[in-house]
Amino acid sequence: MVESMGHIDFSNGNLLFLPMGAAILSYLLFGYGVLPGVAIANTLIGYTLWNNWFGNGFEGFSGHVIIGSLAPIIAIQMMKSFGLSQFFKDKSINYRHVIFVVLLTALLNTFGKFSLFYGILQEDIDIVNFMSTYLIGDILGSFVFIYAAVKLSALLEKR
Amino acid sequence: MKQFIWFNLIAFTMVSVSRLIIVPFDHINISIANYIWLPMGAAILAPLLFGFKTFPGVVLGYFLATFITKGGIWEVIHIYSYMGKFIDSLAPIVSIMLMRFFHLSDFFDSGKANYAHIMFLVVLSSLLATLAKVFVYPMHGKIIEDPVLFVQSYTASDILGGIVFIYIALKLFAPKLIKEKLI
Repeated sequence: MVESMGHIDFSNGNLLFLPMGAAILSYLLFGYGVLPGVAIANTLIGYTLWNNWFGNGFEGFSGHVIIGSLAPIIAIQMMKSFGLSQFFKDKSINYRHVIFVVLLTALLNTFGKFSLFYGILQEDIDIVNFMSTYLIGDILGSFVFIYAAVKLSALLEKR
Repeated sequence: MKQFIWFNLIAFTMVSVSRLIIVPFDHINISIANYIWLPMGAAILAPLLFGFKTFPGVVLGYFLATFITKGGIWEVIHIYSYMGKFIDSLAPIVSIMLMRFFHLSDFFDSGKANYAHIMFLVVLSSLLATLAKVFVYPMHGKIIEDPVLFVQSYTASDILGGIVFIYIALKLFAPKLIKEKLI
């Protein structure tokens, strides 16, 4: 859906990266068991739409699929381990905690991808551009996706 | 007013002393952090115990220690060091405010430290401080030679130093802090 807003390589993130919201919401709703589904979906996108991760092959796969799929799990598990997670309350979503998990996921995902991509990708990375676009893209995309999904499901339930 | 000065003096001492005692572990290359950055723990504990009004004490403590260790002010590398210390002073306050806003903060409960929440605060402060430094420091210049090592070592050192300092400080001073009703 947001492919046209993306960049042609990994040096800049997509500023509305909805898939991150989809991954977070999937883990929150269905548990970590959906990891293979998230990873396969990421692999299909990277291999087909992004032409083998913009020609970066395994390095692109590692950053996009492995870090991208695991970052939300690490963030959720961190919040759970530190006794900070109450994502759903009385059958409704607790936006404060969900927003926080989105912020944490975006931070971990950005740092993780930067650590992996810097120096091994074919294109030059401007660190400030990289960090800001990935952070904004993950945060904005996740907010939009989760909010839209929750509102849509409430609307369908009403009907 | 007396309390304000007293709290700031404690914050100032905590930060400057904790910075000076780790000088032997400093790396000559600014890309690589001191792997046990104890002042991060002091900068987190000060606003946690005494409130955000200790910010001046924390900043001055950092600046004094930087002046002593670097021995200058106006060279480019020194200016970035001071900017980094300002970020280190501000990051814990921003993190505490974030956690409070999202209803995720229960740092002390009737005299007992909630280490889970405090550790999470340390991790968040470290991530935010490192992120802010990435935007402020010149990453492609001669100062930061290896940005990846910079990000990894600064995050790890802040987390490690923060946890060690807070754990030791709370273990040593818990009775006094309970008596003063600070925790």
